Amino acid sequence: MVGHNIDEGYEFMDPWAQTNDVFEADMRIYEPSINNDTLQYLSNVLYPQIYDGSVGASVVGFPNGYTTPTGRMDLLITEGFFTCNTYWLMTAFNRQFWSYIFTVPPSLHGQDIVYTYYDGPNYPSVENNTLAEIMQRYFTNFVMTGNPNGPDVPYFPSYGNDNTCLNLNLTFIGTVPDNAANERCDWWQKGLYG
Amino acid sequence: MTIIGESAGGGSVMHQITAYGGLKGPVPFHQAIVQSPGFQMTPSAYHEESIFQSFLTTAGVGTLQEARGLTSDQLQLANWKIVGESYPYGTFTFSKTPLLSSEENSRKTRLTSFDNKTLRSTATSSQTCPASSS
Repeated sequence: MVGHNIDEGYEFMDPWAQTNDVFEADMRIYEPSINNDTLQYLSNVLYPQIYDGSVGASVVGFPNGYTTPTGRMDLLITEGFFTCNTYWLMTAFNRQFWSYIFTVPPSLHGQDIVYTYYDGPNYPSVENNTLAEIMQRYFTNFVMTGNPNGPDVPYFPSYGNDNTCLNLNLTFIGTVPDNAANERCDWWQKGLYG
Repeated sequence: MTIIGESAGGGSVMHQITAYGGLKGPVPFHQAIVQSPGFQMTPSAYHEESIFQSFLTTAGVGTLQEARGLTSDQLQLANWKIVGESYPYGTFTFSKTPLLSSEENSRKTRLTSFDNKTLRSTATSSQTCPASSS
């Protein structure tokens, strides 16, 4: 069972990556053996300097794509260091298992932890106790039976061929396609930056 | 038994369940929950070596053998310095995956479908974990 948030990368990105020069210089530090052609592909094709919101990985409730240099580097860190992993794990295990996306705004990295370890009403930073209890039932059902589903929780379908994830939000729980199942994550998996 | 981890812990669990491409037999747990797994991918030996050299320099020693003679405090200080000086902002230096041989590199960076029987075959309705991993 895997899970990811939307804005995983925001707390880990370089806030000074506001120009393409710094963007590419940072990439050369993250991956010192990246060659120039690969870097240009990353910079011009995968995460280009297009700020109209058309480049990105949206989920219901979150806007499409990035509109600033910050958003551009944020998306690269989010996908390359975090969310692509969950997509790859689902495909590696024949799509038989379960994947959720925690989308409680702003869905920063680590924001879900207080829900996983929720300890009762008034637990700090938990904005919806019901959501926390449902999440804990998914985890404990999975631990006990190998399946997160049970009588007291909304149906959680397995990943399947259409990349189905369960969207965990403050006001609803429903299925959405995996926003990490995209061409950028397919490229990262090839390890061409090495 | 289920192992669970988030962030670096998620990365750790992810590496446990994909270790050796699943080719070295059953693992000592049945299931995994992987939350927001995060790590910096380093498929190059060059990168690993430069981190190691940086550690030796920061610790004030010349070899791994000498480093093994340092106190815990000295090692912790070296670790603290390296993490604190990590660049760009947001990195930690030590959040990276371990060095693999070039053959294993391809398995690490390409999570192809492999038989998950080694992970699930020992899952039973019993609540207890087997004492051994076989």
